Amino acid sequence: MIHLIIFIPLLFALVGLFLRGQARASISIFAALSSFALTAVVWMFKIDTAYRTSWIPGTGVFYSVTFDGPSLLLALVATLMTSITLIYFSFRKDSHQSEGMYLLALAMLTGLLGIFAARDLILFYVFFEATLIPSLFMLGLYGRKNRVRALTKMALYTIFGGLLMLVSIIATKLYTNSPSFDFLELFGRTSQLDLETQTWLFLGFVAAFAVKLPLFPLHNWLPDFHAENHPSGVADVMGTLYKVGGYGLFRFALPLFPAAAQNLQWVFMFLAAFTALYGAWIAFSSKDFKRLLAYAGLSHMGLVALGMFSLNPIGMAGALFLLAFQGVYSSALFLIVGMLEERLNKDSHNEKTTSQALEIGHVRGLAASAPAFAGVALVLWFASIGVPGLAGFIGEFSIFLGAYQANPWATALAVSTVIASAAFALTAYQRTWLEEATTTIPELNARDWFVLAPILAVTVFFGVFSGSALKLLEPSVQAVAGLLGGK
Amino acid sequence: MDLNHNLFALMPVLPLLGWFVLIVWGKHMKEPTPGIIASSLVFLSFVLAIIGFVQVSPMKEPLLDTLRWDFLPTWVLEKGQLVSKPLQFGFALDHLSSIMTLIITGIGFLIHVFAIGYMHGDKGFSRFFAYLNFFICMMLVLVLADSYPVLFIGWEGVGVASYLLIGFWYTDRKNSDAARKAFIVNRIGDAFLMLGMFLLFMTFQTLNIHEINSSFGSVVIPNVTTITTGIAFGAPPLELAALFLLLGAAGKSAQLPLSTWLPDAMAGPTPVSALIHAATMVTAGVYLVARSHGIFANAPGASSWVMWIGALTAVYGALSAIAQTDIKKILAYSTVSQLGYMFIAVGSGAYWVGIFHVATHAFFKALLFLSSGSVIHALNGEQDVRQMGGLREKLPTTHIVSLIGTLAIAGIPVLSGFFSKDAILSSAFTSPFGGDFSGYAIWFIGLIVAFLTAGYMWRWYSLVFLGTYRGHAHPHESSSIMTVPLWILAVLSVVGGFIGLPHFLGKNVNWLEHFLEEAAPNALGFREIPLWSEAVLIALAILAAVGGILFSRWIIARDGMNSAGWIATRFGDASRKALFLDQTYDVAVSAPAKFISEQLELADTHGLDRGIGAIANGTAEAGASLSVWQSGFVRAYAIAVLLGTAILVGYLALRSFA
Repeated sequence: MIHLIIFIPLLFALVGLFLRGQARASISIFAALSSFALTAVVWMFKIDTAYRTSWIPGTGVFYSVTFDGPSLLLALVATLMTSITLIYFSFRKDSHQSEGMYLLALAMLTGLLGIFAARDLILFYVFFEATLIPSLFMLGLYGRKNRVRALTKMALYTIFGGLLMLVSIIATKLYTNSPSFDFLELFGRTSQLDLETQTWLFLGFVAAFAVKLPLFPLHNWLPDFHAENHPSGVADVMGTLYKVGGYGLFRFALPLFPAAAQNLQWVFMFLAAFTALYGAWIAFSSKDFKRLLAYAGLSHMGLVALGMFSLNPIGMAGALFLLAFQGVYSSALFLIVGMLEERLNKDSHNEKTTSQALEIGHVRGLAASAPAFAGVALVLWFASIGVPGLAGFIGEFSIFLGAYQANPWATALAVSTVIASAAFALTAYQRTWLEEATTTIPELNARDWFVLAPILAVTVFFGVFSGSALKLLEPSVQAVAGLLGGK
Repeated sequence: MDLNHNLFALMPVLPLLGWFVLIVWGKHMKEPTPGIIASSLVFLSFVLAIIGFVQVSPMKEPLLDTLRWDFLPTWVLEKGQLVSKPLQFGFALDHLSSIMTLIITGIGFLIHVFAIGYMHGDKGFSRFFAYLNFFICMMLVLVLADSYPVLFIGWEGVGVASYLLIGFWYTDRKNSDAARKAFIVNRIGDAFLMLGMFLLFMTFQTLNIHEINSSFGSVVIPNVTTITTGIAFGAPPLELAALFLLLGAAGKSAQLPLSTWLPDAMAGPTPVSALIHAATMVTAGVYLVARSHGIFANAPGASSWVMWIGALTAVYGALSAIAQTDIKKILAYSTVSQLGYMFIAVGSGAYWVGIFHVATHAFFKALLFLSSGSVIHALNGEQDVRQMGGLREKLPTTHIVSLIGTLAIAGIPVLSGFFSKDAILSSAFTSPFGGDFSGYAIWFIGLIVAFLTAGYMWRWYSLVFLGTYRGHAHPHESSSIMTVPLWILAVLSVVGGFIGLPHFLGKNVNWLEHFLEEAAPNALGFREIPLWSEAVLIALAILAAVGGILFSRWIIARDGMNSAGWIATRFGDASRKALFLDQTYDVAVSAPAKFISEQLELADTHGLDRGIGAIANGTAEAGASLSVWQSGFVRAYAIAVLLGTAILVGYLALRSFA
C-alpha cells in the first residue's frame, strides 16, 4: 500500500509523458487523487505501513518506509493539495502551454511522500534531494524572465546545505558503528557520542534544514523562487509543500542529537524568532504578491523552527500542525493570486502585464465586483495570520505556548510577529480588495468554488475540531519530547 | 445528550447559523427579511440566556457543557513524567457570564431591531446583519469560554467582526483605514494577552479559567509591603501575568496607551458603534479582569496599575470629549472615559462594580448612540454638531430619550449611571490596593471626571437639541422600528441602577453584589468607612454632576452655540486632537516602523544577496540566450547528485566488503 501511495504519482507521470492535452491532465489528476484516497484509507483504518528491506546490499542502506502520525498528516495534506492544485491548473486557460507542469508536480509529489515516509537516512537524503530536480525544472522551464538567476540561487543554497547533511549522515554511521543507516538503529547509538561530535553532526543536518525551512540568513533564495515561478501558483504550492526542513529537524536532527540540540537551543530559538519577525516586517513593504507570500512563508517557518527548537512537546506539536496546515492555507493564497492574475492579466507572455497583475495595489476595490472572492481571500488571510477559529491559530498558539516554557524572551520577540503580520496582511488586502474600485473582475465561478471550497472547509474545520489531527501527532511528539528531557 | 447541561451552549450557535444563512443566501433576500432572521435568532439566544440565568441562579458551581473535544495539544509534568492533557474546547455558564449573556443578547437584540430601520435601503443590508450575527456569536463565545484559549477565539473573533463592521462601507478609504487600525492596535493588546496566557500556563499548568481561580483556595489578603514596590522585571509571576492580561484588556477596551483606535472606529454604521464600540465588545477587557479575579485579587501591584490606567484614561477621554464637533466622536471619547471608570472599579478589587457599570453603561451609551443614529438618519447623514440644534421639536422622541441618556451618564440621581458611578468612586476610596494615597487620589480624579462628564454631555445635548436649527436638512422623526428600542433602553437607563443599591440604604439591598459573590467575589481588605462618610461621598458626586451641567450651561450662554470662545484656544485645540496621542504614535511608532520595513526590504532584495546573487548573475548572463536545459545547469546538477550518490555508495560498499 505505502509503495503504491508513494510511487503512483511518479508512475503516472511517466505514462503521462506519452499523452497530450486533456488526457494528460486527467491522468495526472487521477494519480494525485488516488494517492490521496489511499493515504486517507491508511489514516481511517489505521493501517500499519511499516516496510523495510535491504536496498543496496552491503552498504547498510535500507529501503525503510512508514507513515506514522506526523508523516501521515503531512502526506494527507501534500496529496490533497497536489490534487486540488492540478485540478485548478487544468481549469486555467493557459494550462495547455505548460503541460509539463502536471508531470513535474507528480514527480515532486512522489519525492515529498518519500521524504515523509523514509526512515533510512540515505533514502531520506535521496528523496530530499531528488525532489529538487522537478522543482528546478518547473522554475527553469515555466518561470519568468529572471528565472535562471532565481534557479541558480536556489540550487546553490540547497546543494550546499544538502551536501553538509550527507557528510553528517555518513559520519554518523561511521562514528556510531551502526550496521545500517536506519534511523531506529542509529538513534540508540548517537546519544552515546560525546557532545562535540554530536554538535558537529547536528550542525550538518541543521544546515540542510535551515536552508530548506528557510531560516535567516539562509532564506535569500525563497523570495526569488516564488517571484520568478510561473504566475499560476502551481509551482508555489509545490514549493510550499516542499518546506520540509521543520519536519527533518523533528524526525532526525533532534532525536539523533538531543544533547547538541539542548546545548544550542537558545541560539536557534532566537534565530527562529528573529526570522519570524524579519519575514513579517519585510512583507509589509513588499510590492509584489508573490514576494509578500514568500516573506509571509518565511515568517511562518521562523515560527515552525521556534516550536521545534523549544524541544517542548507543545511547541513541537504546534510546529508540526502549523507545517501541515500552512500547506493548505498558504498554498491556497498562492492559488488565489493565480486566479487573480488570470483575471487581470491580458497577456501572460508579456512580462509587463504579468508584473502588473501581481503588483499589490495596482488595481483596487475588487470586493465591489467580486464580494465572495474577497470574502474567501479574507478568511485565508486570517488563517495565515493565526486568527483563532481557523487552522492557523492552533499551530501558532501551541508553538508560542511551548516555546515560552523554554525561553520566554525569544518567545516574546516572536509573539510580536502577530502584530506585524496583521499589519502587512490587512494592508495588502485593503490595497487590493477594498477602497474605491478601479476595475471590475469576474466573481468566483463554479470551477473556482470547486477548488476553494475544500480548502476553506479544511481550514475552518481543523481550526475548531483540531482533535483528530492532534491525535496523529501526539504519540510521536511525546516520544521525541521524552528523549529531549521534555521541559 | 443532557439538554440541561448543553442548552446554554446553543446561545452562540444560533447567531452563527444566522451568519451562515445570510452569507450564503442573503443576497437573494429582500429587505427586511435578513434583518428579521438575524433579530429573531438573537432573540432566541436572549431566551436561552434567560433560561440559563434561571438555571444558574441557585447554583454554587459553574454549569459546564458536556460536548467537549480536544482543541490544543498540551502536556503537563506529573511526577517527572510527561502526560498528554489536551486542552478542551468547552463552555461554562456561571453568574458572571450569565449577566454578560443577558446584556449581549438583550441589548444586541434591540440594536438589531433598530438597525432594520437604520440600514433601510443600504446595498449591503443582508451583509450587515450577517456581520452583526457573527459578532454576537463571537461575543458569546468570549463570555462563555471556560478556558483562556477559547476565550481568545471570541476575543479575536469580535475583533474580526469589529474590523468588518468599521470598514463596512469599504469603498471609502478612510473607513478601511480605520478598520485596519482597530485590528492592528487590538493585536498589540492580543500579543500581551497571549504572553499572559503562556505565563499562566507556566505557573498553573492549566489554562482553564475556573481551575486557576479556584487554585487560590480562599482569596488571600494582599501583603501591604509588596504594594509599594510596584512592577519591575523579576516581579512574581502572578503580578507579571496580571500585567500582561491588563495590557491585553487595554487593547480591547481602548485604555491608554492603546486607546486611539476607538474614536476612528466611529467610521462604522451607528448601530455598530452602539453595539460593539459602546455596549459590549469594548467592555470585554473589564470582563477579562473580573473573570480573572483570582489572579488580580492576589496581584496587588498589577491591580493598582489597573486602577491608575483606568483613572488616567478616564481623564484623558473626558478631556478629549469636551471640544469634539462630531456627534459620535463626543460619545466615542466619552466611552473611552467611562471604560476608564470600569477599570478603576475592577482594579480596586470590587469586580461586581465593574460589571455593574458595564451594564448601566450598556443601557445609556447604547441609548445615546442610537439616539445620535436617529439624529444622523433624520439629517441625511450630517454628523457635525455645529450644523444641528433645535431638534427638540422636530425629533420629540429622540429628544426625550437623549435627555434621559444624558442625565443618566452625568450621574443625576436616581438614574442608573448615578448608582454605578457612585459605587466606583466609593470602591476606589476604600480599595485595598495601591495604598491609601492612591485610593484617595483616584477617587478625586474620578470626581473631576464626573464633573467633566456632566459638562461635555450637556454640551452635546445642548448643541444637538436646544436653540435653533443651524443646518439645511429637513429633519423628520424616525419610524417606530427605531423608536421602540430607544424607549426600552431609556427605561433601562432610568431603572437599571436599582440592581446595585448602595450599602447605606440597607444591608441586603444590593442584589448584584450578592449575585456575583461566588463568580466574582470582592478582593479582601476593603476599608470599612462609616455610613455618614459614604453619604458625604455621594453628596459630593451629585454636586460634581450638577456642577458640571451648570458650568456647561454657563459656558454655552457666554460663548454661544458654536462655542467659539474657548474652543479656539490652545486648550480647545488640544482637546479636539485628543491630546495629540495619534500624532505622537505616527511620529514615534508608525513612521519609524515603516521606514525600517522599507529599508529591510531593499536590503534583502538587493543588498544581502550580492555574494550569491553575483554568481547567479554570472551564470544567468552566460546562459541568457539559451534555454535552461541547454545551459546545462539543471542537467549538470542532476548528474552531480546521481554521480555523487553513486560514488559515496560505491565507497561505502567497498569499505564494508574490505
